[in-house]
Amino acid sequence: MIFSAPIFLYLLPLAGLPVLFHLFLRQKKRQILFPTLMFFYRTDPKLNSRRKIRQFLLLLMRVLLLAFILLALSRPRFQSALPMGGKVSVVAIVDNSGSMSDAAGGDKTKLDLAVEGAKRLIQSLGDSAQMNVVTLVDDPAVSFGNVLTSDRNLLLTGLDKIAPTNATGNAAIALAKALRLLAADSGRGGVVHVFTDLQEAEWLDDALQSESADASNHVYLHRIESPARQQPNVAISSVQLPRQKILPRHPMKVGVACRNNSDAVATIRVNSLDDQDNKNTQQVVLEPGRTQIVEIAANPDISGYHWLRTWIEGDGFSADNEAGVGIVCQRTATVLFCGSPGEFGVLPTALSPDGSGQVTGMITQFGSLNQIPQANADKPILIVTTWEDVKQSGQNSSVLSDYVQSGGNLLIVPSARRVGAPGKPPAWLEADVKPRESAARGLKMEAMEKENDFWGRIREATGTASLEDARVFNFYPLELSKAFTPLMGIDFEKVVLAHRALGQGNIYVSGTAFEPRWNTLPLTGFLVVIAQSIAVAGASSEQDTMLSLVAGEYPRGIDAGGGQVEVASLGGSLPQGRDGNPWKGQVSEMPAFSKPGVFLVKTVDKEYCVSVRSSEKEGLMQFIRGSQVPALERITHTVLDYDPTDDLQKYQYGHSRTFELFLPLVLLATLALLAEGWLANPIRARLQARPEPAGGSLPQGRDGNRPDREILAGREVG
Amino acid sequence: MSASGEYRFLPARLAERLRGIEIGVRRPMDGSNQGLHRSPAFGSSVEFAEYREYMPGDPIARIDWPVYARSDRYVIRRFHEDVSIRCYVLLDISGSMGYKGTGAMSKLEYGSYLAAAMLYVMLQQSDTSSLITFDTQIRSYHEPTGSFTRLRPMLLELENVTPGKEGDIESTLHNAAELIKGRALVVIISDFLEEPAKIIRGINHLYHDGKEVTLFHVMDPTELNMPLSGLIEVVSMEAEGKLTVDFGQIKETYLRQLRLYLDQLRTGCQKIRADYIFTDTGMDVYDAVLQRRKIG
Repeated sequence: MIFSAPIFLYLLPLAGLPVLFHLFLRQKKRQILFPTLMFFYRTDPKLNSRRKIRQFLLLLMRVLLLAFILLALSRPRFQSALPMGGKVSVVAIVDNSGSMSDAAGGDKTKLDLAVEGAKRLIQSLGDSAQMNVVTLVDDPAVSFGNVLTSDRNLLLTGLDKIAPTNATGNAAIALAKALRLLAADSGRGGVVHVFTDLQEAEWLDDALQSESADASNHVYLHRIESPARQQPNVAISSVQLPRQKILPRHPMKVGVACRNNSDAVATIRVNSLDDQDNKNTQQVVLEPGRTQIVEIAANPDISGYHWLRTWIEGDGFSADNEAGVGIVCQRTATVLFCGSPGEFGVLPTALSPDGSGQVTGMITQFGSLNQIPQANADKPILIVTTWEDVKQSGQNSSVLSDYVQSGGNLLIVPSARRVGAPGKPPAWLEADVKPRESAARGLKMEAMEKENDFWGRIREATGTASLEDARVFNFYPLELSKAFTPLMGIDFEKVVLAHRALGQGNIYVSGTAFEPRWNTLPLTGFLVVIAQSIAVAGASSEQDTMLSLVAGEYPRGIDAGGGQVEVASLGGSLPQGRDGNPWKGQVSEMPAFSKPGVFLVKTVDKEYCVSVRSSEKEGLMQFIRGSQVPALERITHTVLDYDPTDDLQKYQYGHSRTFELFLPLVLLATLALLAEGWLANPIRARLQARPEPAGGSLPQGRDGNRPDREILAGREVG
Repeated sequence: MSASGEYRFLPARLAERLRGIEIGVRRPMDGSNQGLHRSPAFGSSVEFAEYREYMPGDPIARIDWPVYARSDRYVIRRFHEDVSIRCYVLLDISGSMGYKGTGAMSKLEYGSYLAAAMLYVMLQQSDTSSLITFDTQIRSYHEPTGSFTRLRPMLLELENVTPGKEGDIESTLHNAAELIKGRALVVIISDFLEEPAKIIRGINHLYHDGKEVTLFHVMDPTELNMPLSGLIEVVSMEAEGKLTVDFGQIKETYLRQLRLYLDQLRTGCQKIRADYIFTDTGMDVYDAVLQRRKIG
């Protein structure tokens, strides 16, 4: 018998109050002589004894009424034990999150202890017990079915397949699944055993607070102790990909953010390996609590999907050390110069030194605005044109506008050969050039708005956003709308390079040609960086299909149109179904990715590249130490320190089936109340039941009416 | 008897008021003396009864000669006989008669007044009267007398009588039926606290023996109105027994049962032609006697 509100049991002696009232406030009776008891006996021959019995029963009913009410308020529930015929329903939740791969003292990991505990639990249950196992991190390779089973071997075999993960578990989902399994069983009530280290990352989850369970369910949390680590722990907290289009043979850098989550200085090695078998190792020293971004060079050689695996060595915990990075590389891109080669100075060379794309992944092409391909696949990555042509474009300017809005990049420069042109640029451009200015000794150019993505890409490539001593001899000061962001200027007043986003594309306008007579930029390698940064600006359409997940998260944003999806591995452990084959099924049933890697999720008409990194939270040494889990306040639970020698069978007794006694007690109290009411008014009840004797009339006393005789005068005897 | 020489239960003022009251009977009565009440036998009163054929041995003086002159038949004219009757007053002296509630006197005292009044009224109309007291059996018996002198011991006994313990009316009435010979008026003064059926059986016995029975049912106003309330332990004045009763709760039922009992008693008396007079101790004794006179 379990009482949810035992405080009311302390009030149970109050049920004796009616007895006290009866004894101390008992009505004092007086005695009289009366001619006969005949009429009283006719009323009730056993009136006296009945009255005593009635009073006793009345007292009993009042005592019972109070007792039942107090017992009902204490919310008792009777839990039948196995020897009493109760049925045992048990679900074991095994915490297979990343933190469980940490050592538990000795040679075993915490996960080893959790699996052992679950096995002992299953082996301790009787043949009639209905049971199942749920993992905290969804693992499609380990499936225990969707109903409780008595097949012990199936569950033990499944437990042997549980492997460490790098993911953060979802306790709310696991607990909900366990309770759902119990509820789906034919009877009510059951026990959930959780073998976990009670890491706060999982058990302080707000989602747990919305979970509630019937009082007949009980959750036992077997807390596996987490010993302090001897070495500092560094985790990969994020992976940063460059914000640009990725072209073949176009070098790029991936930033790996490493965070020291311990209190000691960590000296680690950040390793990387890509699909082209390029290996790299960097040694990093990290102060406690600090984060450092380690840049890893990547240079995909052909278009398509590429992967990069990076991991940390030298720290005290490995489950948060790995990340998979998926890279989608575009095909060799075309840069269309609208005009003759001589008009663009060294710009074509800066974008494609060999003209065939072998060095930068870009091919230069010269033509006119009329030659812009309409198909997306054939569209150039960048169109370079001159102010003179733009002003004279007329009808063709709308083609340019459409191109930019659909994701293309446009660079407008002054023609290095032609000097000025009449007319106005199209209105959608919102930019124009002022009269040309010249300075024989050159004017120093300054970098402006250095927080702009343009300078971010320059910084990624060169490590600095400074123009150093670049000077300009000839230029057209730009006349810009507020939509433009100035990037380079003279004395921070006259803008010579500016940027504006239009639709999904970018417009760069320059007031100076990239030719040595106009400025000194062509004389430095800086022009190459600027030109290529302009060319690759913006995201490619393929990057919409790139998903980045932390292990344990479910992929979102995959549109399969109701069809099946299939998961393939680019690099890393592939989530597999029970049959050992790559997982295949509906999007809604797709399991969480529990380990780092790069995966390809294929729908009928689309592919998604999923990059998964280990969960940084799993390395945190923050565990719930108390006897209660605050987030489980709506679930009856007990926190126990895991003991490998503990007899787990004892927890099933008294929890196999639970019967709430609140309602029966309320009903009993109601019955006691009704009986008390009936006993308190018995005469009236009997009077109503007894028929009136016919024709009876009572002669009245001397003050009453006497219908059967005349009232005569005279009060005295004589 | 009081110091002034008055009988306690027949004071001069009551006797004075009772003088002139005549108590009649409906049934023919036996009697040896000339009186006021019709006898079943024919006698010498002035009230014509019937003609009868002359039989040898009849006095010749009683032949109705005018009838002989008209019809040439010898007939004798017969007249009703009026006799004095015997009145037996049976007074219940059981324990319950000693009850005095809110009335001016106990039921036994009231009954004694009533008995004295009846004895006196019968004597003063030239009848004979007798006093019998009883509880479970007849306790005292006085021979019927027509003399006021012989009334004295009866009145003195009334003054000395004390309530007994239990009462048994039915058995007493059976005994009285055996004791009282011939036709007579039997007046029973009691509270009749017994099952009506048993009382009626006793009265029936008297009636079938030729007695005319009159019942004076004496009750106390407290018994009738039950003005008590609260938890009271009621001790019976007759049989051993007590009962704890919440009068507040039981009053209605008590009155209902009392009404039922009185109704059964009255109806039973009507069926056997016994005169039933209900009175409570607050009622004037003269009025009670007057009620009997009206019936007669």
